Amino acid sequence: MRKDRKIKLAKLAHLLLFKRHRYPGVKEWELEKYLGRDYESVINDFNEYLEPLGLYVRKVEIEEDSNKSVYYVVQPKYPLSSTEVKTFGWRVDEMAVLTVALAHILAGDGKASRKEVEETLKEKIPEWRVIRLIDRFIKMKYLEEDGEYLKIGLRTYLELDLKMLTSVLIGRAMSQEAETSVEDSSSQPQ
Amino acid sequence: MSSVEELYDRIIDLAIKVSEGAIDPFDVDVGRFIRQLARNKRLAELDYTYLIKDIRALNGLVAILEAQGKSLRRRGLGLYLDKMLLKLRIYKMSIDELSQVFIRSWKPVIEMESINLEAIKEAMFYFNNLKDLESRRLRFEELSEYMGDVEPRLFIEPKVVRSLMMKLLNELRDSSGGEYIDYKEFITRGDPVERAYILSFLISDGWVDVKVDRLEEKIWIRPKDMRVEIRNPSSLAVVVRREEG
Repeated sequence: MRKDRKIKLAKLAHLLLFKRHRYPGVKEWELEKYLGRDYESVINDFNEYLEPLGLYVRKVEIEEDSNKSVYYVVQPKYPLSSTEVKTFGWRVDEMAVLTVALAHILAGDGKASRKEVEETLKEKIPEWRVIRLIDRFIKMKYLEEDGEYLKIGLRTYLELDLKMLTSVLIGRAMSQEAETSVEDSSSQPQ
Repeated sequence: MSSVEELYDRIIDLAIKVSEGAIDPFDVDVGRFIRQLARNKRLAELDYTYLIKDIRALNGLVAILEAQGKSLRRRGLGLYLDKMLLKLRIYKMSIDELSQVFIRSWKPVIEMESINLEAIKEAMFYFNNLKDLESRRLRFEELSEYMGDVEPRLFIEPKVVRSLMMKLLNELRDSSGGEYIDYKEFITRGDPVERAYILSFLISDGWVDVKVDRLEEKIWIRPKDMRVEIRNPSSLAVVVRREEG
């Protein structure tokens, strides 16, 4: 491998793997600035090194108010197991709070009243914890606060498969409803 | 209230509710409202207040159409969740089940936190030059002794404060030439407590810029050409102490 190629690969690894900004990942213009116009070929080479590690470089396009931003991030290639996620420091109730908040935002066409989200969560999780966790997710950029409303934050676009989240929520609803209707019909007198 | 006015108010109210997410944008028949608006008198004949309402109503309908467009795009991407279904789902699912939904759709971004030699050097320099906590803390005796001087000054009439603010701003403009100057040097040109107090209004009102150098424990101020509205205000504590000796 040529020396300049090696330098570019090392530069890309540093850009992608080390935390540098408050937002995760690297913006497209940064890659162009530090690696030149052929940054995509450097990414392809880098992916060959990441492949045996179960990681890959993902390109994420985020469209907001007719502006499109392109980010590059390194992520696991395959879904993680729940045991693994727990060892990353996430508690079950933290994941539940974020899921419910995101579900509300998706159901509200991109935004949800923070009060409404908190009301729903309060039924199962103590209020003080709900408020603290929502604040934390805003700080971590999983959520965005817009006045009294919550919106999807940059980190969520980068880390979560919202289509999967939606389909799992709906899919489970259907299977559970089917179960309930079977239970209901079996409990009825023949 | 005339029927035209009612129509305008209804459309404006619907647009607000759609923007708040209280109603589904598809529950509004935009076409019908546009036809109703078009049946009204010609715009030129409308009263001034009606004309404004007509513009607001039309703007509201545009906002509802935009919300419908956004909603359609989301539905097209498979990101649509029915509100009622969602509430039922969340009510039925346990915390553990909800966390499983998250796990199935989450792929964390790999990002390592790191520190370099430069940052370590800077941090060491900062730490070495930091005075110990004890000397940075204002003792209670000092405070109670000083309060005697401070208290009466807190009761300055608002009108007087306004004129003092303008006077101080003009002085700052004249002496700084629009550049940053040392805060301490500026407030000690006269009565430091009064000048710091009046200056705090100028800063909060957006007339004066503040820059803090925490490493050197220095504060810099600069007058602004025009007043700027501060959207995300933050507090800055300034300790004014009596010089010893």
